[in-house]
Amino acid sequence: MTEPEEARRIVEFRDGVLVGERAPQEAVAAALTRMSHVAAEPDDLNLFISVDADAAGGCARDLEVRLGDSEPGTLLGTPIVIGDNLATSTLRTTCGSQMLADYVSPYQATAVQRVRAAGAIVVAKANLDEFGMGVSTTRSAYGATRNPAAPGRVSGGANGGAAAAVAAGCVRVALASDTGGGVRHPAALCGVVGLKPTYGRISRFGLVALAPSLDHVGIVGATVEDVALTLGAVAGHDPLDPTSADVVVEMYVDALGHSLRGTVVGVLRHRDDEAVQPAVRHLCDAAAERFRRLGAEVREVRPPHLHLAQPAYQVIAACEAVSSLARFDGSRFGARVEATSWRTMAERSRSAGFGQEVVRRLLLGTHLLGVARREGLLRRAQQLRALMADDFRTAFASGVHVLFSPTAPGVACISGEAENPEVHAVQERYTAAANLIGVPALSIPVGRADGLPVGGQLIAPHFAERTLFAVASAHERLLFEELGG
Amino acid sequence: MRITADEVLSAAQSAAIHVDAPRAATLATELTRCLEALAPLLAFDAAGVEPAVAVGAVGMPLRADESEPIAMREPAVALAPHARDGFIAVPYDPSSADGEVGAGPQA
Repeated sequence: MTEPEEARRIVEFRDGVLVGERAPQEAVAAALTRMSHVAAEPDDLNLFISVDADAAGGCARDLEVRLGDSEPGTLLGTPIVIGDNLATSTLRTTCGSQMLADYVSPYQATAVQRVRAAGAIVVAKANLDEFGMGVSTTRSAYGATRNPAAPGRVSGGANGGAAAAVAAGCVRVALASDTGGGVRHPAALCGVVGLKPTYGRISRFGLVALAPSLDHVGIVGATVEDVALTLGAVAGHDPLDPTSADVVVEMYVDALGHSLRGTVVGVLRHRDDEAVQPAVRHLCDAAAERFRRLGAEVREVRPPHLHLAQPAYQVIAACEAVSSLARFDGSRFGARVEATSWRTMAERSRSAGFGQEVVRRLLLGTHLLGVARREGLLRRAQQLRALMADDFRTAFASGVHVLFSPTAPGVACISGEAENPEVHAVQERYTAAANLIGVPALSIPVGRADGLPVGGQLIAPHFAERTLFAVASAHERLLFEELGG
Repeated sequence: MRITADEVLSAAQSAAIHVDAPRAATLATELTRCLEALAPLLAFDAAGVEPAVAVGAVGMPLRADESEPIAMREPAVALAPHARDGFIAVPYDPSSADGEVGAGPQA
């Protein structure tokens, strides 16, 4: 039986294209066919906001012209999905909001430009919680995205569309944003790999800002190798993003397939660990045992301020969102509701364009920056950020190469539970710390509980993505063998 | 820590979002729950700790303070819901003393 095109590894397909055995159109056609099958199923997963079948086909034909180039591109012929808050000049960029329902950007995000330059073909824009605010992808103006493993359950968020598109086999890789876990959380709940790189590693130019000091462009992939390849294509300094780091881009794929002998894995212990579902804890313990079997030393690490990461994140994100979303007032772009004065127009446009969760967070941020400023919560959150950076520096300075924890405290909840504030409030408990201090973090599948995917999270020092990939690929291989692969 | 319905209305006015009185009462309950979850931030010892506003090993660099031609001007105007004579058009604001009378939305 021939392996379906969408299941082929990126490197394998690229090599096939280079020797003339494969054509980029085949991969695009396979992706589009799979996407239409998924959309036609009774439980439509609602993965995408826009699909560009024509442009994708045109790009694939253009790529064939490049085959003779000395550097035809590491992602040659790879269909890719882009989260709908990254600017594309051919497809609209809605951010999951009615506010930008018809917005087509006059430029494209640097990350999008770079994957295209590396030979990838953008086939669709993925659904997400409005402006990236959420952990379930139920808060999009374009409907909820369902989990491919269990369509009655949420896909995680904020970028559930991107993660579910990879999990459903539509594409091997996707770009999406991660502000408090927006790539890693849905990757864990959908059973795929999700990377939030070091702050500054991937340009944020063209990413619609939510909270600029926390926002990252991340990558979802079917395997660790797919994510490592894609990071190599998009990483690097960008003069258009002042926060982009001028740090050398390493050969990430070279880190794969090595022994873990000499590696020290620190298992993060959290004051609120008892809130983790037993099945998730069991699978993460099993993953730690795998690291040990692979030759790593495993020890416990207890950063004293880790339990405060989520509240600190919520304060900073809400306050930064107030200024980030101030531009959406009906004047310069986006939806406008007409009125006879600017003030009324802005108020009506914002009230009609923003969904309830966005309104809730904007009011929280405005309150924290205004009346509640005397409480000093924002200053406290920023102080916590400094302390947490010290905690992680201390852990890494003690000889730990990589930290490990659950990605999310539970499996994907059923769709109705997503609106429960108590469920919602704990989802970023393990992911937010990496955004606060800018270190890279990778969510990897560690198994399934009653058929539902569970993810574990690896965290490394700044710019040590190679360490993440080395540990993750070794674990992936062993898990694959255990599952009879 | 709590937020009252009046404070919700005040925040809504600052954020230029319309909230009516019944909705303000509901939001006050929801946001008070959010604020209570943030309260642990006030419980740790932060004496002498300098707040961090930047992340990562490279801090928060600023771009050079130099002006450049606005390459995006024409597309930016094209994106506006209403434009006139190459400029983005917005309605006259009666609260502005020198606003242009009649500069309402253009079809």
